[in-house]
Amino acid sequence: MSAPAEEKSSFVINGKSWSGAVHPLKRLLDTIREDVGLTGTKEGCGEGECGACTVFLDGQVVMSCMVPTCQAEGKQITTIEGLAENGRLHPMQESFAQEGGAQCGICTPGMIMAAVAYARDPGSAEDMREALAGNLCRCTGYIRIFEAVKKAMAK
Amino acid sequence: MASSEYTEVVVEGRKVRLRAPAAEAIPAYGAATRVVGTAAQRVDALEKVTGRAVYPSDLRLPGMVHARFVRSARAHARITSMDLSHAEKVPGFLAAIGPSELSEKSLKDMLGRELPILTEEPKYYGEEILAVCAETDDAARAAAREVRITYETLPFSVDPEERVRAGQFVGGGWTPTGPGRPAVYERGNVQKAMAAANRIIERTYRTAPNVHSSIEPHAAVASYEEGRWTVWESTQGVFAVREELAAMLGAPLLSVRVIGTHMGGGFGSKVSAGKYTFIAAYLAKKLGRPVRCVQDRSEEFVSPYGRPPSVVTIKAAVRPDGKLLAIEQKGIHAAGPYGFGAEWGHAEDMAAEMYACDNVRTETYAALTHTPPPCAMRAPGHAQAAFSLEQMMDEIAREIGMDPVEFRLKNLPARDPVSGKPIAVPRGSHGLAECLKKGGELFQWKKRRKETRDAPPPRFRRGVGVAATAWSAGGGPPASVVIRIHADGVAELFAGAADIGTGTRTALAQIASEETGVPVDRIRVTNADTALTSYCLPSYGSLTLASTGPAVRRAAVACRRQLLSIASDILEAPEKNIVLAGGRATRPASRKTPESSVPIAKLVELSASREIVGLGEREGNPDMSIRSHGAQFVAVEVDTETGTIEVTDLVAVNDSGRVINPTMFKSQQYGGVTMGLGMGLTEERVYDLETGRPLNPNLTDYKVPTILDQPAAFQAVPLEVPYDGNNLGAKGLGEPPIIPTAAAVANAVYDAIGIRLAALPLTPKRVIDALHPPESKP
Repeated sequence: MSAPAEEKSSFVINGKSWSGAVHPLKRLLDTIREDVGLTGTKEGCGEGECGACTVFLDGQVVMSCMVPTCQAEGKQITTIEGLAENGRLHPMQESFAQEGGAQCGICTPGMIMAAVAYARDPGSAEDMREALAGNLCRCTGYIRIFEAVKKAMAK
Repeated sequence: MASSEYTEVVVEGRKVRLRAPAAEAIPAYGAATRVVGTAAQRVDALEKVTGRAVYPSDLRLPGMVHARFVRSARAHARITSMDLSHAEKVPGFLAAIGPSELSEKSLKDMLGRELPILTEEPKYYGEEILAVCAETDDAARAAAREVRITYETLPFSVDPEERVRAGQFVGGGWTPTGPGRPAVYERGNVQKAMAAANRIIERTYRTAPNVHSSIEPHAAVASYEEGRWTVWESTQGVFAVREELAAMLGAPLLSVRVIGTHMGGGFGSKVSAGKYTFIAAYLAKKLGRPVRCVQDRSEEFVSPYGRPPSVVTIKAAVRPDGKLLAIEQKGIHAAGPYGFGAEWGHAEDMAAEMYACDNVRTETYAALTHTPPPCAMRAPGHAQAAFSLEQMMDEIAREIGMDPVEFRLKNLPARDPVSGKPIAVPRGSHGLAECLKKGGELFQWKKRRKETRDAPPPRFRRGVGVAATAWSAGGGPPASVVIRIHADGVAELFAGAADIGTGTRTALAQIASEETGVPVDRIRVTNADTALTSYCLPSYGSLTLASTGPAVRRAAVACRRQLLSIASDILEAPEKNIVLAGGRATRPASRKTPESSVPIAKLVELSASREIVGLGEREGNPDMSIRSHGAQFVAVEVDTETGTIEVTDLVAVNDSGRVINPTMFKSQQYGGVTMGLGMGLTEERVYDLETGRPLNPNLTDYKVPTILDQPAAFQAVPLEVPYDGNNLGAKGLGEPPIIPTAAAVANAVYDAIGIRLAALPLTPKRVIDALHPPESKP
């Protein structure tokens, strides 16, 4: 086996430019957690099943465990750490905290990212469920998550 | 309160009665509480919604390296060769550990399970054979893939019934029986009672293997410096991990510090140290670098965790007036190759304890299957046993033409039928009776039952069902807590308990706030760190709040007394007239004097010690059978063409005594019931009978509920039946909500289609096969 070839990679993450040497096929999830050093984005399965690693890539919701870092080249990434603005929590974060939408909390960052994406183009209650159906939570039974998103939308 | 004053222990073969330390009684809460009982926001909510909460799997230490397991590709085999030469060439490879290096070591947990850490004779698909370590996680995975192993395949079976037929089992109850003998519990004379009865029903029920599926996989990071290990572990119990790990390492307790502040779900699978814990610690010392060992999702499905499948044949006799005469149960549980039977004693417990019945016999077999050794999963045994017992209760009630709610009420025990101890039933109310009555009202049980009975059978058929639960949840010692209030009025609360997502940290802060007057947001909770907090049991068995909560109250009362004494001098008022709340000590206005107050910070500053310290220990429990009760009412719609079952409406009522935080209480109900719906409708680890491999080791094919599976209407109702067995009046709640769900759904399905589904999960295929038995198809 030959040594993995690292290449220079650059993107903008949470509004800040980042560049570093990573293997182009390294999972974006690992680049964010290990190289950029932001661990708010969680790994639940590494197989695109649980949604814990959900981030925005040029505004689109992606599961960062399924994206090779080279696909993020020159793009804008937003993670849970980039949602607050000027030290103020995003209304969705506020709502999850107030409504009890986070229990053990490991699925929470991904869940909030999916909810924020849904909130940009909201639809019916059924659409809301569809938008969050790719994010698994083993603690809450989703009731308070559903309520938290509804409350945030009403703000 | 009649506290049990003695604990019996065995010292060098001699029975010794240990006296409980004398503890001053703390009065029950008065009529109104300020903080306890309110929906306070979780103290760690902001950390969690911002991504700042650091979990063990997030930890990155300087110089940290990564360990991965090489697992068996056979269900039972002897290893004939291991070739590491390719693995060693992977760039970044650092070390490999094989079974011979650890032949003296085994993983022993507090429940008496003992497993090899690495093995040369794997007894289930996925059993750990080697551990490899490399500079990066990718390199460790690559090295693990490059290890070449040859096997001599040995006979195996993943089918528990087949294993019992072959005599490959141990006793499945609490009392070890050794190989080839089932565990038997008996009271009265079942044979005689059955012979005299005119109505007897018998049926065999099957539950499926389930996997905990916490969203954070099992994970440990260990560092070793100057003769001491620090281990960050995703765990329900830092002290259990410390004890087990120190024993495995052959090191003194104090050379191991275990930290488990945040953890991403456990549900029973993270009570003890794992093989990954040992490997991380062992390699950290060997390599002199921090080691991270985290499992992949696929590994979660082949590791020694999960709820074992069960096959339960239950037979019951009833008198026409609704009196239960006899219950006979034969239960088989898969125990994995090493025979962990004892934990499934809960299944026999449920049949024996739940209802008043003079004649009961249970026979429990733990089958030695070539499947991953099981461990406790939310309500171990009970969740399986309820599926058979609570359907049987439904079936008998229908048989004698009695409402299933009435039938249960008629057979409630006032004393624990096994131990003979009184069930805590203060003021003449029975927790289960209250739950059944309240749930029936909210659900409009009687009305809806009649509606479904009278409806014509269209494609979509509706039905309603009920099931009940009881679970021992009194908590108890050991738990000790320290509270320190500092001169700026901020309090620190030190408790050993893990917060596994239930909200323990927040509930404890509320209890401390109630007594001290320090607001919840001025209380910093330090928990689950063996170097900073006192010993306590893992957060399992629904015991956390009822164990640690009363110790917190005791510590807070100790602080309160000191604060009141100083406040009394400053405010020139008797202590009983002073209110501690909102960060201040206040003497309310009287006719003669206006209100006056002083900040708690000032009281601390003026105290002789410049810091108020309170210590609290958990007192013993009364000599009773302490149970949390619950009832669930469910409405379903069954599509008779596709076989899908939709749960349209669900009411869950739980009595666990005092509610400390209604938001968190209901969250336990929502979460537990949802896991029960998964168990009931979708979750099954499927094995290939030809190879013994799990066929669905991922979250796409092993279906945990998603947000689309929520019932359209879901009411979670806390019912506070008064309880005075500890100074909080609270009992546990983590497990009870999952227990009756699958049975309640199955009972509703029977109500809808008139067929009793006897195997979990209740998949569309099973419904269709039941409606149109395969042999009758053209």
